[in-house]
Amino acid sequence: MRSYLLCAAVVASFAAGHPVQVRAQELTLVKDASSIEFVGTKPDGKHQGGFKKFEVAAIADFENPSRSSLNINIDATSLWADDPKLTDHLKSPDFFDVRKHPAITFESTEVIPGEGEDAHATIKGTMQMLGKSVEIEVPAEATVTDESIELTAKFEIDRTKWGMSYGQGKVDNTVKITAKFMMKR
Amino acid sequence: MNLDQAFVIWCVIVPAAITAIAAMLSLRYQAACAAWGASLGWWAAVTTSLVASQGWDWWPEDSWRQSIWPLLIWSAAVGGTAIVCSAQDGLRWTAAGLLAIVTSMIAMPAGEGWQDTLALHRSWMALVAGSCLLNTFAIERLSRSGGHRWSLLVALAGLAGPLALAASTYASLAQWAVAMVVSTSVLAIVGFKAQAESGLWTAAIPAVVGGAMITAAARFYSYQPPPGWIYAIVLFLPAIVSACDLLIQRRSAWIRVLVSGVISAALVAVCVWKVLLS
Repeated sequence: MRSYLLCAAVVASFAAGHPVQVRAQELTLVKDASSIEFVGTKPDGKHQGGFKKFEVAAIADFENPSRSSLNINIDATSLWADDPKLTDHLKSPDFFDVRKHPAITFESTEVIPGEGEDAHATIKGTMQMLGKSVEIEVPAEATVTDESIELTAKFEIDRTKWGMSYGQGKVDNTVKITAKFMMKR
Repeated sequence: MNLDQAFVIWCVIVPAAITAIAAMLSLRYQAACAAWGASLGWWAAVTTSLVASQGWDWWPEDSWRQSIWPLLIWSAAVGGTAIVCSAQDGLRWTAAGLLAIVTSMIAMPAGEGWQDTLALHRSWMALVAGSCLLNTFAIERLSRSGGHRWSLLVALAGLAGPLALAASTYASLAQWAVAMVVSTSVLAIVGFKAQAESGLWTAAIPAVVGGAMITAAARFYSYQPPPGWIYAIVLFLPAIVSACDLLIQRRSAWIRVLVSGVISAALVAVCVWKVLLS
Protein backbone atom coordinates (compact mmCIF):
# COMPACT_ATOMS: atom_id res chain seq x y z
CA MET A 1 0.00 0.00 0.00
CA ARG A 2 2.74 2.33 0.92
CA SER A 3 4.40 1.47 -2.29
CA TYR A 4 1.36 2.53 -4.16
CA LEU A 5 1.28 5.74 -2.24
CA LEU A 6 4.89 6.32 -2.96
CA CYS A 7 4.32 5.85 -6.61
CA ALA A 8 1.62 8.43 -6.57
CA ALA A 9 3.83 10.78 -4.68
CA VAL A 10 6.60 10.34 -7.17
CA VAL A 11 4.28 11.04 -10.00
CA ALA A 12 3.01 14.12 -8.32
CA SER A 13 6.47 15.33 -7.46
CA PHE A 14 7.63 14.69 -10.95
CA ALA A 15 4.77 16.68 -12.34
CA ALA A 16 5.40 19.53 -9.94
CA GLY A 17 9.12 19.99 -10.18
CA HIS A 18 10.45 18.68 -13.47
CA PRO A 19 10.15 19.45 -17.14
CA VAL A 20 7.24 17.65 -18.68
CA GLN A 21 7.15 16.09 -22.10
CA VAL A 22 3.76 14.42 -21.96
CA ARG A 23 0.55 15.36 -20.21
CA ALA A 24 -0.21 12.03 -18.57
CA GLN A 25 1.98 8.99 -18.48
CA GLU A 26 1.44 5.47 -17.29
CA LEU A 27 4.37 4.18 -15.26
CA THR A 28 5.63 0.60 -15.21
CA LEU A 29 6.78 -0.99 -11.96
CA VAL A 30 10.26 -2.51 -11.84
CA LYS A 31 9.49 -5.34 -9.44
CA ASP A 32 13.03 -6.38 -8.61
CA ALA A 33 13.88 -2.88 -7.46
CA SER A 34 10.69 -2.32 -5.48
CA SER A 35 9.69 -3.43 -2.03
CA ILE A 36 7.03 -3.11 0.63
CA GLU A 37 8.29 -3.79 4.13
CA PHE A 38 7.04 -3.26 7.64
CA VAL A 39 8.42 -3.33 11.16
CA GLY A 40 6.20 -4.46 14.00
CA THR A 41 7.34 -3.56 17.48
CA LYS A 42 6.62 -4.86 20.94
CA PRO A 43 7.85 -3.76 24.37
CA ASP A 44 10.75 -6.23 24.26
CA GLY A 45 11.76 -6.16 20.60
CA LYS A 46 10.73 -5.87 16.98
CA HIS A 47 10.25 -7.96 13.85
CA GLN A 48 10.66 -7.15 10.21
CA GLY A 49 8.43 -8.35 7.43
CA GLY A 50 6.99 -7.48 4.08
CA PHE A 51 5.19 -8.64 0.95
CA LYS A 52 6.89 -10.37 -1.95
CA LYS A 53 4.15 -9.87 -4.51
CA PHE A 54 2.38 -6.65 -5.34
CA GLU A 55 1.14 -4.76 -8.37
CA VAL A 56 1.22 -1.01 -8.88
CA ALA A 57 -0.77 0.96 -11.43
CA ALA A 58 0.41 4.57 -11.51
CA ILE A 59 -0.52 7.36 -13.86
CA ALA A 60 1.35 10.62 -13.74
CA ASP A 61 -0.50 13.67 -14.96
CA PHE A 62 2.23 16.23 -15.49
CA GLU A 63 -0.09 19.08 -16.31
CA ASN A 64 -2.37 18.62 -13.33
CA PRO A 65 -0.55 16.53 -10.70
CA SER A 66 -3.56 16.26 -8.47
CA ARG A 67 -5.15 14.12 -11.19
CA SER A 68 -2.34 11.59 -10.95
CA SER A 69 -3.36 8.28 -9.53
CA LEU A 70 -1.83 5.36 -7.75
CA ASN A 71 -3.41 1.96 -7.21
CA ILE A 72 -1.65 -0.77 -5.32
CA ASN A 73 -2.73 -4.38 -4.99
CA ILE A 74 -0.76 -6.50 -2.53
CA ASP A 75 -0.95 -10.29 -2.48
CA ALA A 76 -1.28 -10.80 1.27
CA THR A 77 -0.42 -14.49 0.95
CA SER A 78 3.09 -13.45 -0.13
CA LEU A 79 3.74 -12.09 3.36
CA TRP A 80 7.15 -12.84 4.85
CA ALA A 81 8.71 -12.21 8.25
CA ASP A 82 12.16 -12.60 9.78
CA ASP A 83 11.03 -15.79 11.54
CA PRO A 84 9.21 -18.58 9.62
CA LYS A 85 6.93 -19.30 12.58
CA LEU A 86 6.07 -15.63 12.78
CA THR A 87 5.22 -15.72 9.07
CA ASP A 88 2.63 -18.41 9.78
CA HIS A 89 1.25 -16.45 12.71
CA LEU A 90 1.02 -13.19 10.76
CA LYS A 91 -0.90 -14.99 8.00
CA SER A 92 -3.37 -16.40 10.53
CA PRO A 93 -6.65 -14.73 11.53
CA ASP A 94 -4.85 -13.22 14.54
CA PHE A 95 -3.32 -10.72 12.12
CA PHE A 96 -3.73 -10.60 8.32
CA ASP A 97 -6.13 -13.56 7.93
CA VAL A 98 -4.84 -14.11 4.40
CA ARG A 99 -7.20 -17.00 3.67
CA LYS A 100 -10.23 -14.78 4.09
CA HIS A 101 -8.60 -11.56 2.89
CA PRO A 102 -5.93 -12.43 0.31
CA ALA A 103 -5.58 -8.86 -1.01
CA ILE A 104 -4.60 -5.54 0.51
CA THR A 105 -5.33 -2.58 -1.71
CA PHE A 106 -4.70 1.12 -1.87
CA GLU A 107 -6.47 3.53 -4.19
CA SER A 108 -5.37 7.12 -4.26
CA THR A 109 -8.03 9.81 -4.15
CA GLU A 110 -5.81 12.87 -4.20
CA VAL A 111 -2.17 13.65 -4.83
CA ILE A 112 -0.85 16.83 -3.24
CA PRO A 113 2.51 17.69 -4.78
CA GLY A 114 5.27 19.50 -2.94
CA GLU A 115 5.86 23.10 -3.91
CA GLY A 116 8.59 24.29 -6.28
CA GLU A 117 11.49 21.89 -6.71
CA ASP A 118 10.41 19.96 -3.63
CA ALA A 119 10.27 16.25 -4.41
CA HIS A 120 7.96 15.56 -1.49
CA ALA A 121 4.30 14.87 -1.94
CA THR A 122 1.35 13.67 0.03
CA ILE A 123 -0.90 10.98 -1.30
CA LYS A 124 -4.37 10.62 0.11
CA GLY A 125 -6.29 7.46 -0.49
CA THR A 126 -8.23 4.48 0.75
CA MET A 127 -6.43 1.47 2.10
CA GLN A 128 -8.46 -1.72 2.31
CA MET A 129 -7.28 -4.49 4.58
CA LEU A 130 -9.17 -7.26 6.39
CA GLY A 131 -12.26 -6.17 4.49
CA LYS A 132 -12.24 -2.70 5.99
CA SER A 133 -11.51 0.57 4.16
CA VAL A 134 -9.71 3.38 5.94
CA GLU A 135 -8.65 6.77 4.58
CA ILE A 136 -4.94 7.43 4.99
CA GLU A 137 -2.37 10.04 4.04
CA VAL A 138 1.10 9.01 3.00
CA PRO A 139 4.11 11.29 2.69
CA ALA A 140 6.31 10.30 -0.22
CA GLU A 141 9.62 11.32 -1.70
CA ALA A 142 10.55 10.95 -5.33
CA THR A 143 13.77 10.72 -7.28
CA VAL A 144 13.13 11.42 -10.92
CA THR A 145 15.35 10.74 -13.88
CA ASP A 146 14.67 10.72 -17.60
CA GLU A 147 14.11 6.97 -17.51
CA SER A 148 12.54 6.30 -14.18
CA ILE A 149 10.87 7.54 -11.03
CA GLU A 150 11.79 6.12 -7.64
CA LEU A 151 9.24 6.66 -4.90
CA THR A 152 10.01 6.16 -1.25
CA ALA A 153 7.43 6.43 1.49
CA LYS A 154 8.01 5.93 5.18
CA PHE A 155 4.98 6.17 7.37
CA GLU A 156 3.09 4.55 10.23
CA ILE A 157 -0.36 3.07 10.52
CA ASP A 158 -2.50 2.06 13.48
CA ARG A 159 -3.35 -1.58 12.72
CA THR A 160 -6.41 -1.50 15.01
CA LYS A 161 -8.19 0.84 12.55
CA TRP A 162 -8.59 -2.19 10.28
CA GLY A 163 -9.70 -4.40 13.15
CA MET A 164 -6.32 -6.05 13.62
CA SER A 165 -6.53 -5.94 17.38
CA TYR A 166 -4.87 -9.19 18.44
CA GLY A 167 -2.11 -8.93 21.04
CA GLN A 168 -2.78 -5.41 22.28
CA GLY A 169 -0.37 -4.72 25.11
CA LYS A 170 2.02 -7.38 23.81
CA VAL A 171 2.35 -6.04 20.29
CA ASP A 172 2.32 -2.31 19.56
CA ASN A 173 -0.61 -0.98 17.56
CA THR A 174 1.61 1.25 15.43
CA VAL A 175 3.35 -0.42 12.49
CA LYS A 176 6.15 1.27 10.55
CA ILE A 177 5.95 0.85 6.81
CA THR A 178 8.58 1.51 4.19
CA ALA A 179 7.67 1.29 0.54
CA LYS A 180 10.04 1.74 -2.37
CA PHE A 181 8.81 1.73 -5.94
CA MET A 182 11.04 1.95 -8.93
CA MET A 183 8.97 2.77 -12.00
CA LYS A 184 9.94 3.15 -15.63
CA ARG A 185 8.53 6.11 -17.48
CA MET B 1 -8.14 -5.99 30.38
CA ASN B 2 -4.84 -6.72 28.65
CA LEU B 3 -3.92 -9.82 26.67
CA ASP B 4 -2.34 -11.66 29.62
CA GLN B 5 -5.23 -10.97 31.95
CA ALA B 6 -7.79 -12.03 29.32
CA PHE B 7 -5.83 -15.21 28.69
CA VAL B 8 -5.59 -16.14 32.36
CA ILE B 9 -9.25 -15.39 33.03
CA TRP B 10 -10.89 -16.91 29.95
CA CYS B 11 -8.51 -19.72 29.13
CA VAL B 12 -7.50 -20.82 32.63
CA ILE B 13 -9.65 -19.58 35.52
CA VAL B 14 -13.11 -19.72 33.94
CA PRO B 15 -12.71 -23.16 32.25
CA ALA B 16 -11.17 -24.53 35.46
CA ALA B 17 -14.02 -23.16 37.56
CA ILE B 18 -16.75 -24.48 35.25
CA THR B 19 -15.15 -27.91 35.03
CA ALA B 20 -14.55 -28.06 38.78
CA ILE B 21 -18.21 -27.24 39.48
CA ALA B 22 -19.31 -29.85 36.93
CA ALA B 23 -16.98 -32.43 38.48
CA MET B 24 -18.20 -31.73 42.02
CA LEU B 25 -21.84 -31.94 40.97
CA SER B 26 -21.17 -35.10 38.97
CA LEU B 27 -19.68 -36.84 41.99
CA ARG B 28 -22.93 -36.31 43.89
CA TYR B 29 -25.00 -38.26 41.40
CA GLN B 30 -25.08 -41.78 40.03
CA ALA B 31 -22.55 -42.73 37.42
CA ALA B 32 -24.93 -42.39 34.45
CA CYS B 33 -25.77 -38.80 35.33
CA ALA B 34 -22.17 -38.11 36.37
CA ALA B 35 -20.95 -39.10 32.91
CA TRP B 36 -23.21 -36.56 31.29
CA GLY B 37 -22.29 -33.98 33.91
CA ALA B 38 -18.55 -34.40 33.38
CA SER B 39 -18.69 -34.56 29.57
CA LEU B 40 -21.11 -31.68 29.17
CA GLY B 41 -19.27 -29.71 31.89
CA TRP B 42 -16.06 -30.10 29.88
CA TRP B 43 -17.88 -28.93 26.75
CA ALA B 44 -19.43 -25.94 28.59
CA ALA B 45 -16.01 -24.92 29.89
CA VAL B 46 -14.23 -24.98 26.51
CA THR B 47 -17.18 -23.40 24.71
CA THR B 48 -17.33 -20.55 27.23
CA SER B 49 -13.63 -19.94 26.71
CA LEU B 50 -14.02 -19.89 22.93
CA VAL B 51 -17.03 -17.59 22.96
CA ALA B 52 -15.31 -15.20 25.36
CA SER B 53 -12.34 -14.76 23.05
CA GLN B 54 -13.98 -15.08 19.62
CA GLY B 55 -17.55 -13.94 20.21
CA TRP B 56 -20.76 -15.89 19.75
CA ASP B 57 -21.96 -17.12 16.40
CA TRP B 58 -24.30 -20.05 15.82
CA TRP B 59 -22.32 -21.23 12.81
CA PRO B 60 -19.00 -19.35 12.60
CA GLU B 61 -17.16 -19.02 9.30
CA ASP B 62 -13.99 -20.66 10.64
CA SER B 63 -14.32 -24.44 10.61
CA TRP B 64 -12.39 -24.88 13.86
CA ARG B 65 -14.88 -22.66 15.67
CA GLN B 66 -17.71 -24.84 14.33
CA SER B 67 -16.12 -27.66 16.33
CA ILE B 68 -18.24 -26.79 19.36
CA TRP B 69 -21.26 -28.51 17.78
CA PRO B 70 -19.71 -31.90 17.02
CA LEU B 71 -18.01 -31.71 20.42
CA LEU B 72 -21.41 -31.16 22.05
CA ILE B 73 -22.78 -34.28 20.35
CA TRP B 74 -19.68 -36.31 21.26
CA SER B 75 -20.06 -35.14 24.88
CA ALA B 76 -23.76 -35.98 25.10
CA ALA B 77 -24.16 -38.99 22.84
CA VAL B 78 -20.85 -40.82 23.22
CA GLY B 79 -19.19 -39.55 26.41
CA GLY B 80 -22.47 -39.27 28.31
CA THR B 81 -23.62 -42.76 27.32
CA ALA B 82 -20.35 -44.54 28.08
CA ILE B 83 -21.60 -45.70 31.47
CA VAL B 84 -25.15 -46.71 30.59
CA CYS B 85 -24.17 -48.60 27.43
CA SER B 86 -22.05 -51.71 27.29
CA ALA B 87 -18.65 -51.73 25.65
CA GLN B 88 -20.06 -53.80 22.77
CA ASP B 89 -23.17 -51.71 22.12
CA GLY B 90 -23.38 -51.84 18.34
CA LEU B 91 -25.81 -48.98 17.99
CA ARG B 92 -23.61 -46.66 20.05
CA TRP B 93 -20.50 -47.50 18.04
CA THR B 94 -22.41 -47.05 14.79
CA ALA B 95 -23.45 -43.61 16.02
CA ALA B 96 -19.85 -42.87 17.02
CA GLY B 97 -18.65 -43.90 13.55
CA LEU B 98 -21.16 -41.65 11.82
CA LEU B 99 -20.31 -38.84 14.21
CA ALA B 100 -16.61 -39.29 13.44
CA ILE B 101 -17.36 -38.86 9.72
CA VAL B 102 -19.43 -35.72 10.34
CA THR B 103 -16.73 -34.37 12.65
CA SER B 104 -14.07 -34.90 10.01
CA MET B 105 -16.19 -33.08 7.43
CA ILE B 106 -16.67 -30.10 9.74
CA ALA B 107 -12.95 -30.05 10.51
CA MET B 108 -12.15 -29.33 6.84
CA PRO B 109 -11.94 -25.62 6.10
CA ALA B 110 -14.26 -24.46 3.32
CA GLY B 111 -14.40 -21.37 1.16
CA GLU B 112 -12.58 -19.74 -1.72
CA GLY B 113 -9.46 -19.03 0.30
CA TRP B 114 -8.87 -22.69 1.03
CA GLN B 115 -8.94 -24.05 -2.52
CA ASP B 116 -5.21 -24.71 -2.51
CA THR B 117 -5.71 -27.13 0.39
CA LEU B 118 -8.34 -29.30 -1.33
CA ALA B 119 -5.74 -31.95 -2.13
CA LEU B 120 -5.27 -32.49 1.61
CA HIS B 121 -8.93 -32.86 2.50
CA ARG B 122 -9.42 -36.51 1.57
CA SER B 123 -6.50 -37.80 3.63
CA TRP B 124 -7.17 -35.44 6.54
CA MET B 125 -10.84 -36.41 6.72
CA ALA B 126 -9.73 -40.04 7.04
CA LEU B 127 -7.13 -39.12 9.67
CA VAL B 128 -9.55 -37.06 11.78
CA ALA B 129 -12.34 -39.65 11.58
CA GLY B 130 -9.88 -42.44 12.38
CA SER B 131 -8.40 -40.47 15.25
CA CYS B 132 -11.81 -39.72 16.80
CA LEU B 133 -12.98 -43.32 16.58
CA LEU B 134 -9.73 -45.09 17.51
CA ASN B 135 -8.96 -42.76 20.42
CA THR B 136 -12.51 -43.06 21.76
CA PHE B 137 -12.21 -46.83 21.60
CA ALA B 138 -8.76 -46.62 23.24
CA ILE B 139 -9.98 -44.44 26.12
CA GLU B 140 -12.95 -46.71 26.72
CA ARG B 141 -10.82 -49.86 26.66
CA LEU B 142 -8.36 -48.29 29.09
CA SER B 143 -11.09 -47.09 31.44
CA ARG B 144 -13.10 -50.31 31.37
CA SER B 145 -10.00 -52.38 32.09
CA GLY B 146 -9.22 -50.62 35.37
CA GLY B 147 -7.64 -47.44 34.02
CA HIS B 148 -10.62 -45.17 34.73
CA ARG B 149 -8.58 -43.13 37.21
CA TRP B 150 -5.90 -42.16 34.75
CA SER B 151 -7.51 -42.35 31.31
CA LEU B 152 -8.09 -38.60 31.61
CA LEU B 153 -4.33 -38.22 32.05
CA VAL B 154 -3.85 -40.05 28.74
CA ALA B 155 -6.38 -37.69 27.12
CA LEU B 156 -4.44 -34.80 28.67
CA ALA B 157 -1.21 -36.08 27.12
CA GLY B 158 -3.12 -36.37 23.85
CA LEU B 159 -3.84 -32.64 23.97
CA ALA B 160 -0.19 -31.62 24.40
CA GLY B 161 0.67 -32.27 20.74
CA PRO B 162 -2.33 -30.34 19.37
CA LEU B 163 -1.44 -27.47 21.72
CA ALA B 164 2.15 -27.39 20.44
CA LEU B 165 0.98 -27.45 16.81
CA ALA B 166 -1.57 -24.70 17.43
CA ALA B 167 0.98 -22.59 19.31
CA SER B 168 3.28 -22.69 16.29
CA THR B 169 0.64 -21.28 13.94
CA TYR B 170 -2.35 -19.51 15.39
CA ALA B 171 -2.60 -17.97 18.86
CA SER B 172 -6.40 -17.95 19.14
CA LEU B 173 -6.46 -21.66 18.32
CA ALA B 174 -3.70 -22.28 20.89
CA GLN B 175 -5.67 -20.39 23.53
CA TRP B 176 -8.61 -22.69 22.95
CA ALA B 177 -6.31 -25.69 23.21
CA VAL B 178 -5.10 -24.32 26.56
CA ALA B 179 -8.73 -24.14 27.75
CA MET B 180 -9.12 -27.81 26.76
CA VAL B 181 -5.93 -28.73 28.61
CA VAL B 182 -7.06 -26.85 31.74
CA SER B 183 -10.54 -28.41 31.75
CA THR B 184 -9.16 -31.90 31.18
CA SER B 185 -6.55 -31.34 33.91
CA VAL B 186 -9.19 -30.40 36.48
CA LEU B 187 -11.23 -33.52 35.69
CA ALA B 188 -8.06 -35.65 35.70
CA ILE B 189 -7.13 -34.40 39.18
CA VAL B 190 -10.62 -34.96 40.57
CA GLY B 191 -11.00 -38.21 38.66
CA PHE B 192 -7.75 -39.62 40.02
CA LYS B 193 -9.33 -39.85 43.45
CA ALA B 194 -12.81 -40.79 42.28
CA GLN B 195 -14.34 -44.25 42.31
CA ALA B 196 -14.67 -46.36 39.19
CA GLU B 197 -18.36 -45.67 38.94
CA SER B 198 -17.92 -41.90 39.12
CA GLY B 199 -17.98 -41.63 35.33
CA LEU B 200 -15.69 -38.59 35.23
CA TRP B 201 -13.41 -40.39 32.79
CA THR B 202 -16.07 -40.10 30.07
CA ALA B 203 -15.00 -36.47 29.55
CA ALA B 204 -11.79 -37.88 28.04
CA ILE B 205 -13.84 -38.77 24.94
CA PRO B 206 -14.73 -35.20 23.86
CA ALA B 207 -11.20 -34.23 24.92
CA VAL B 208 -9.53 -36.58 22.42
CA VAL B 209 -11.98 -35.48 19.72
CA GLY B 210 -11.16 -31.84 20.53
CA GLY B 211 -7.48 -32.69 20.15
CA ALA B 212 -8.09 -34.13 16.67
CA MET B 213 -9.99 -31.01 15.59
CA ILE B 214 -7.30 -28.68 16.93
CA THR B 215 -4.66 -30.73 15.08
CA ALA B 216 -6.56 -30.50 11.80
CA ALA B 217 -7.02 -26.75 12.19
CA ALA B 218 -3.34 -26.29 13.04
CA ARG B 219 -2.38 -28.24 9.91
CA PHE B 220 -4.53 -26.11 7.64
CA TYR B 221 -3.30 -22.85 9.15
CA SER B 222 0.34 -23.95 8.82
CA TYR B 223 2.32 -22.94 5.74
CA GLN B 224 5.40 -24.89 6.78
CA PRO B 225 4.00 -28.02 8.36
CA PRO B 226 6.17 -30.40 10.37
CA PRO B 227 6.76 -33.95 9.03
CA GLY B 228 3.77 -36.23 8.60
CA TRP B 229 4.89 -38.64 11.33
CA ILE B 230 4.45 -35.83 13.89
CA TYR B 231 0.77 -35.59 12.94
CA ALA B 232 0.46 -39.37 13.20
CA ILE B 233 1.81 -39.28 16.76
CA VAL B 234 -0.32 -36.31 17.76
CA LEU B 235 -3.52 -37.71 16.28
CA PHE B 236 -3.12 -41.22 17.68
CA LEU B 237 -1.26 -40.79 20.97
CA PRO B 238 -4.12 -42.10 23.17
CA ALA B 239 -4.51 -45.11 20.87
CA ILE B 240 -0.75 -45.81 20.99
CA VAL B 241 -0.72 -45.60 24.80
CA SER B 242 -3.79 -47.83 25.08
CA ALA B 243 -2.29 -50.40 22.70
CA CYS B 244 0.89 -50.58 24.83
CA ASP B 245 -1.25 -50.84 27.96
CA LEU B 246 -3.09 -53.79 26.43
CA LEU B 247 0.14 -55.79 26.67
CA ILE B 248 0.49 -55.17 30.41
CA GLN B 249 -3.11 -54.85 31.55
CA ARG B 250 -2.77 -57.79 33.97
CA ARG B 251 0.02 -55.98 35.84
CA SER B 252 -0.55 -53.70 38.81
CA ALA B 253 -2.14 -50.30 38.28
CA TRP B 254 1.04 -48.47 39.19
CA ILE B 255 3.08 -50.30 36.57
CA ARG B 256 0.43 -49.52 33.97
CA VAL B 257 0.38 -45.86 35.01
CA LEU B 258 4.16 -45.71 34.92
CA VAL B 259 4.42 -47.28 31.45
CA SER B 260 1.65 -45.09 30.06
CA GLY B 261 3.26 -42.03 31.61
CA VAL B 262 6.68 -42.82 30.17
CA ILE B 263 5.30 -43.51 26.67
CA SER B 264 3.14 -40.37 26.76
CA ALA B 265 6.00 -38.21 28.01
CA ALA B 266 8.35 -39.53 25.35
CA LEU B 267 5.87 -38.96 22.51
CA VAL B 268 4.93 -35.49 23.77
CA ALA B 269 8.60 -34.55 24.16
CA VAL B 270 9.35 -35.60 20.57
CA CYS B 271 6.38 -33.56 19.28
CA VAL B 272 7.21 -30.46 21.29
CA TRP B 273 10.87 -30.64 20.32
CA LYS B 274 10.12 -31.06 16.62
CA VAL B 275 7.26 -28.53 16.45
CA LEU B 276 8.42 -25.77 18.78
CA LEU B 277 12.12 -26.16 19.44
CA SER B 278 13.77 -27.47 16.27
